[in-house]
Amino acid sequence: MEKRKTVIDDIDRKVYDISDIDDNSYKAQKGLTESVVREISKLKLEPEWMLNHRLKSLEIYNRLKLPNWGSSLHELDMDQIVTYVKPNTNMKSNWDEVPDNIKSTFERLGIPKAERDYLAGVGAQYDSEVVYHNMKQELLAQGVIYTDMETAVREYEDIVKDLFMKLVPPQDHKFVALHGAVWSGGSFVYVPAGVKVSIPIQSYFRMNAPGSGQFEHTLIVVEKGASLHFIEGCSAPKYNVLNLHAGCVELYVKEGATLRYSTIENWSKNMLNLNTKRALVEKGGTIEWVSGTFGSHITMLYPSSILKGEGAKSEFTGISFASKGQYLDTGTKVVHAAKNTFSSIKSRSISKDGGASVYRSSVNILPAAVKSKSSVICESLMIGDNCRSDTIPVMKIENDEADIGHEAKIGRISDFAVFYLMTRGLSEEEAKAMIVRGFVEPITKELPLEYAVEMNRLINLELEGTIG
Amino acid sequence: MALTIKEKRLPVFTWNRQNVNEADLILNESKESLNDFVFVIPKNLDCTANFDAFDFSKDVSDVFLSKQAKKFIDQNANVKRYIKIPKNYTASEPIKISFNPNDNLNDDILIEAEENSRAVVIIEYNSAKQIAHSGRTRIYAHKNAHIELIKSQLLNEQSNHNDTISAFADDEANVKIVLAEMGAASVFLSCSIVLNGQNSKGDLQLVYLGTDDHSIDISAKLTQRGKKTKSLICAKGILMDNAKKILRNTLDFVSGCKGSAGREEENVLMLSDKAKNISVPVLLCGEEDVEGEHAASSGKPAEAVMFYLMSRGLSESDAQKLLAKGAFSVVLKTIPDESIKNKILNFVEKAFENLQKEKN
Repeated sequence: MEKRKTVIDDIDRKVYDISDIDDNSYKAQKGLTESVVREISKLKLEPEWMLNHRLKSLEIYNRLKLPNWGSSLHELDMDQIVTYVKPNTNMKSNWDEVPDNIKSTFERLGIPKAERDYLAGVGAQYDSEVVYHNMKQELLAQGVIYTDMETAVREYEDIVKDLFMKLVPPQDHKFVALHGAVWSGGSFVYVPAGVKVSIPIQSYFRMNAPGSGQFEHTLIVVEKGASLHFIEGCSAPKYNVLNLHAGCVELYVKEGATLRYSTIENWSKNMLNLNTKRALVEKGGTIEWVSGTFGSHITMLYPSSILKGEGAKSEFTGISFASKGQYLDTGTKVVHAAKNTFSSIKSRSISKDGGASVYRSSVNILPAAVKSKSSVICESLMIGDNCRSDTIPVMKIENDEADIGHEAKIGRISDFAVFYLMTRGLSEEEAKAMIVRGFVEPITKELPLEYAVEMNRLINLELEGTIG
Repeated sequence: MALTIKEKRLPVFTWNRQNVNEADLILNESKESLNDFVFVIPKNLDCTANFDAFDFSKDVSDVFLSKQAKKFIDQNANVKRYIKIPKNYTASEPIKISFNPNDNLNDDILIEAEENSRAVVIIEYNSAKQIAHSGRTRIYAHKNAHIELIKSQLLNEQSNHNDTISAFADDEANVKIVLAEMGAASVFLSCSIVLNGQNSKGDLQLVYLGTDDHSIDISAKLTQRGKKTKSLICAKGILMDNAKKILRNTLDFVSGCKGSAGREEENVLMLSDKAKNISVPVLLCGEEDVEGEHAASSGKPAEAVMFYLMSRGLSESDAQKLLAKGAFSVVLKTIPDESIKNKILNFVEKAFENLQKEKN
């Protein structure tokens, strides 16, 4: 009997692909020029130092070349991208005041309900600006700051100026420089020493305008002994023209603090997602990255951790799901710069029907990082013909008192495992569904229950086939 | 005169800041043709052939050698040999080439194992003096041929050594390559095996020792094209003093190689806080129906193990030496020539003696 193949449905995008009318109060001209950058800065009423930063970033952008590794970005024509789209509203703190079309978009995405049911604060960005921001009163009373980035630049300049794009400087690569020039929106979170924010805060980024870019900046500072779980979600409807996302996330985790940064990314398949995320962890601090990458045409995303202080920790748990027309190049970087630091990387990827997933990582153990440990486990599942799964890890070890272990596997669903489960009474479909759910379980278990349910919903399974 | 060429060392590039994508290959001219080397072949085996008669369409050394480098080697080889194992022939003894040059050596060796043949080829590089060595060895294994190439590099510690080994395997062919890189101040090694035929197998076993300020740069790639091919890359290394090493192992499952399996593993024993170890274990996969895995580990000998050995009366140095030899034995036990095995182990002994002297 001919062996039929396992089939896994594409991500169910019905909710995400509903687009609104492109109703904006201002749209920059296409392309990236000094006048566009000056106009953005002027509209935001920024201090001069921020305008200077933007202009310097533009200069760096024009100087740097595209990367000579990873996916080709030949489809990107910056002359066709609109870098700033202001929605027809200002920022509100009450959903009833948000324009109906925007509000209904976020309601479809479940954001207001999530806020009511299980979040301590929400920021919702629509195209280039934050349209809604709110936080529970008890957090305000504890001194927690959660606001949009523009407000932070003006009202918390003493904190922001010293930190803004210092951890991820514009010289890093071309798309960080682009971000530095045209950034807009995003969140600033400050958690004072000793404050434990027990309920997550979420920012959601929705892109609506076709042919546009979103360049939100997230800056989070978690002071000594404090803790926070921050969730980031993003989506956009599918168009026939390219959209670009080049956001930036900078995280400062101080001594003994803990920050969990969870992302569920579900951009449409016309999106280029070139995001940069980095955390600096002080003594005894912990950064936990939880990352689910499901959308976009091309993603290049490598959340990075610098373990600066003794005993600092980084844990990365990630999953990507690449289907037809998708090239998802994800992974992580860790630099162990102090002794007794610890890093753990667990990555799972699924590629199907012509999709390509790449796991790319680097673990650097510097001479000072004695008695440090790093563990990397990477597994890839391939389903169907013409897909690709590549693993490209780099490990650099510069002292003899560090322990490093790395393992990776590539393969398909094991016929033997399916047979075993079927002998225990499961049907073939149930057996394969169990195996695939088990494959993604290490990631879903790191999320709050509601998001785990959402992630499982994103991976709808329809399985058929025989093992005979 | 030396020629420096920036060569591509990874089949797919990664972040440039990691400095692993490319490296400088230094090629040195040699003087006149070298005839002073030992070439031992089994009795009744006529295995030498006209160099230009080789089927160069099976030359896959361009995985790591640019056109410029290939041209230089073509023009500057001072030793050329074409070893052809006849069809259905099983060599009773290894074919052995031993080099101990006083001047630069550029050897260009072709090995062709015809259908159903079996042979072991051993190539040794020794030198008392400082020399520059550029080598190229190309293997073509026909259907169901089993060919094993063992290379032992014990060059003078000031020498410069680079070597490119490549192999092409037809249906059912079995290629095994064992490399021991122990000497030379600078090692630049490339190995590419292409498993083109169905049910072919490729096995690369590597041991290396880095001491002093030595630099070791190794790239290996096993390309699996045929169905039901099997591959294994196993690397064991020891790093002392200020040695620097980079090892890039790639398994590449090409679309169509259904039913294939491959594994790569690397273990590095770090015996110095100044040594630098870089590992890049790459897995490339364009085929669903395969099993691929890799594993890499690095560190100093486990405290518990050291404690156990030292509690049995061994000094710290002897305990480390025992563990080092144990790590190498996995690879060395497959070498059929005892004298070569002993030379390699003696090299390890000497390195530990020097290490102990420095500590004292």
